[in-house]
Amino acid sequence: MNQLIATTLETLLNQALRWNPSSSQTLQKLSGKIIRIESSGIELTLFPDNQSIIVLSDYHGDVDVCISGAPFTLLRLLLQDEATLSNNPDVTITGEMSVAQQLLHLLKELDIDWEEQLAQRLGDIPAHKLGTLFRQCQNYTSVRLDNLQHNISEYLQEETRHLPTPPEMETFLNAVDTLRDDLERLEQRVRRLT
Amino acid sequence: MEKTTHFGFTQVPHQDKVHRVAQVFDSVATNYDIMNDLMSLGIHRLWKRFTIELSGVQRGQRILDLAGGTGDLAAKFATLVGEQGQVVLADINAAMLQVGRERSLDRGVLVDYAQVNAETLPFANNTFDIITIAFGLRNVTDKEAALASMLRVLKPGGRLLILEFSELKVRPLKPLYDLYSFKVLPLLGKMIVKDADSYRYLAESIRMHPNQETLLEMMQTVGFDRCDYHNLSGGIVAVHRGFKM
Repeated sequence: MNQLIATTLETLLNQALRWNPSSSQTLQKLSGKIIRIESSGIELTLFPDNQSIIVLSDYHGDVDVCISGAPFTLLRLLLQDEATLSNNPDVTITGEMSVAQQLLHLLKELDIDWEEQLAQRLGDIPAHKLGTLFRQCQNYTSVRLDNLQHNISEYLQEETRHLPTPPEMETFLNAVDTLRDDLERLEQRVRRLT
Repeated sequence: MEKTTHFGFTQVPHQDKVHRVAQVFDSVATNYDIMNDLMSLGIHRLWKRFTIELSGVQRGQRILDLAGGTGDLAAKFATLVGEQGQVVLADINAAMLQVGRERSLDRGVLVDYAQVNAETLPFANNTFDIITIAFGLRNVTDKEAALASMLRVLKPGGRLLILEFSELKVRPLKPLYDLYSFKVLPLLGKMIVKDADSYRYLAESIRMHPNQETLLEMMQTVGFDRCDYHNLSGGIVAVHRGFKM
């Protein structure tokens, strides 16, 4: 199973690298390093060289850096726009921090221009048509999803009253803040009395 | 009486096999990789991957890739052992080695090259951490001598990995497999490399190669320890592994 994941990841990464010639500079900085990624029982070791990355599922030697965390934490790290590794308490990094940072940088760079890749195979016009269609679908679904989310939250807040509305929440949080301040003041007073 | 050995299904004098095998590989060298992809439908990459995973390779190790041919295993190993390590790409056939050398240079991979006969390896005792021989052992005339020679140049604790065609263990598929190897394969060879005979030899030599258990016994007899094997694709190929203790 792990081998299957490693093979798939290796194929995907290398395909993406081939389609992103601009990423080769970052890859070169990583070349020769060994990076282990651990996530809920799955261990993958990445060996970047000048042109590609080899991924092994079974490597017991020394590594330059080990990144471990829950799968979704790692995924979120990739999806966030301005994610940094240093201030994330859910991700543990052992070894060379800069290597981990460069890997993250490389993976974020791998933003594939699908339309361009399609255009090379199908020609410009069909690729543009497909791209437009895809964007329309994406738009449509995101509008529907927003609507759905809005409806659900309204139902839970207004109809069933399981959840507070934002103004209610605001008032409550302000009350908590005030209470905390009051408590701190009281604490100071008591301390002064004793 | 003159000693003979098998060359595919025909018997040839012992000393002739090397030349005959050389002829086959001289003929297929330039198209070797394309034919491998076609013949195995690309699965040979997965088989080689599995071999690499089994090798337990680590940074800084010394690796000998015997019968390395066009160097795809050696290239991967070169990345895995890094600059501190060493990979020797060895083959008995100069044409194959030449193709391997050009391809590695094009990929920007630096490995060492050696034209060697696996039966008499020209390396000092206890030199390598790992020896791999992928799809090469069946072309060696004296397999015991080759295995003994590999054992000699391995470091204690080092391991040998043999990736080779073996005996299909899924019986119902056998007729299909035979049809493929004896009819389709030579035809593919004829169409792509214009050389049906070489590919007929490949198919025949697969059938003449010792099966899983026999090869395992041979390794144990020569002196390898903790030998085991893994069947891949139902036994069409098998990876044998043995350690020098």
